[in-house]
Amino acid sequence: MEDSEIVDLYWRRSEQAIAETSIKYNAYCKTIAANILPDDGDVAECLNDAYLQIWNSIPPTRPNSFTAFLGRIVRNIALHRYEYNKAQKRNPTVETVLIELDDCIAGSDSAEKEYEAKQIACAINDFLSALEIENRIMFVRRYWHLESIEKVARNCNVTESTVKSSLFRTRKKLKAYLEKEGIPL
Amino acid sequence: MKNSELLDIIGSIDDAFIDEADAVAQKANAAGKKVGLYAQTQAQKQHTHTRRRMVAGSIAACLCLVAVGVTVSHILPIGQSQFAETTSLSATEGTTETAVEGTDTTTATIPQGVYELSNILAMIPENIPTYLKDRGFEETFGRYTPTTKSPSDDEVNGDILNWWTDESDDAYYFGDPARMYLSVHPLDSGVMDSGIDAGEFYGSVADFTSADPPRTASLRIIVLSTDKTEDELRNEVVDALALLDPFYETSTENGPRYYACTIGGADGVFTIRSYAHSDGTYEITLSCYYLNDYCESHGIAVSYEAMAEQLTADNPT
Repeated sequence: MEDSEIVDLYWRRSEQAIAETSIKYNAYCKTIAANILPDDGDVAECLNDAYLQIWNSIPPTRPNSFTAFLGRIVRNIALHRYEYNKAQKRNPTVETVLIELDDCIAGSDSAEKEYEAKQIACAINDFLSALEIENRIMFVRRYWHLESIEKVARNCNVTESTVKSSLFRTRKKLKAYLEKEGIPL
Repeated sequence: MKNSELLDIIGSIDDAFIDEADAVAQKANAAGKKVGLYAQTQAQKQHTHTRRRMVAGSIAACLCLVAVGVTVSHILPIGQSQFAETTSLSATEGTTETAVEGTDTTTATIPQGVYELSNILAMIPENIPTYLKDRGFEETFGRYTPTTKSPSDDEVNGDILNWWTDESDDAYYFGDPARMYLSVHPLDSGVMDSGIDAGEFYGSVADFTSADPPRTASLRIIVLSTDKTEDELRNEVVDALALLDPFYETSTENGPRYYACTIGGADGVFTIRSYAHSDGTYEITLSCYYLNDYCESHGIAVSYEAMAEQLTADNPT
């Protein structure tokens, strides 16, 4: 079923929408959640929460890209669950991703975090737009999908070293870009 | 800001970027084997695979070449002195039909013979800038741009110190294309480690059209056959570079025997990898990462000569 048809089902408040979403995107959602959450039970719960949130979000939302919309919800829920579980369970991949992102930022307790977040989001979008496609894809697969280096390399059919070097340069560029744009870090 | 907050913010990037990245993974999965990101992007750019044609005006390529070349040339004498006894090419002539890993045609003619690594290293011109100028490169502010379009057949086939370029991958090749050769190419511009292609070349693609020139380059040494073990071969490269205490890591990502060692920094200034192919050939890749970054961070911007000295000082023999 086409994405637009699935979205229409949501708008018509047909419960078939969730079934169709699951048929088409369960593996996709599960992959994103599993990149973040090591526990299968957490992944399953995350997907259930995600389907519920999608049900509650559409309508009024009519996403341009249903895949990205879906993935974003799963990612956010999984990250929140990860934070919740953090004290007891640690996913080395997510921990490594967080450490790597230290390259781009510095500590701050600014009270304008929300404003800054929007600023940074816009800047990151601009930055990604200007990035070479291959570097951008690796960056997104690593920091949006939170894939392991090995998995990024496999998906992009490059060596892990290539992925590491690309990510290293991109992080440095991103930091420089944010500083140039006057983003408070 | 906490890094976890940045991770959250990255979560709100435009849908288009996510779709774009998803498409790559979907294609990789759907094909049953990995569909290369670079193969995809390069196909879009419709590069032609015409060998032995010089690339006109690739300043970035020349910068990379000079960066690697000068560095290597300043380090190499240390290594070459260790191989003073084996400076002549020792090859047993003859050809055989040999299966070549990574190609669909499965057979290719590869000259048999024993090639000492030192002979190959010795093929690297000691002064690449001079070498290039002698061969028609123009220097502009320390960068070298080829001015001729293609070497003659005599140049390609006759001279062991020959060099040529490949329009499809923007690599620079040195050596004898019928026997052994080494290549310098931009590492982060789409080079694919796809093995030996047609017995002479490996399949590789690269993009120099980027507005942001690559800062890395790779110098690949192809050893068609040798009487040394893979460990010995790799260690010779390390020794030749006078670099000590390399960090070795092993991986199976490129076959059962893949080694890499990274030297000179957290993300590596030099990386040496060796590949042992099933047909008994070896590839050793020496890559230089972040040359400019390294120099800048050490206050030796633009001076690759100084960098070579710095590397030697950091790794005293």
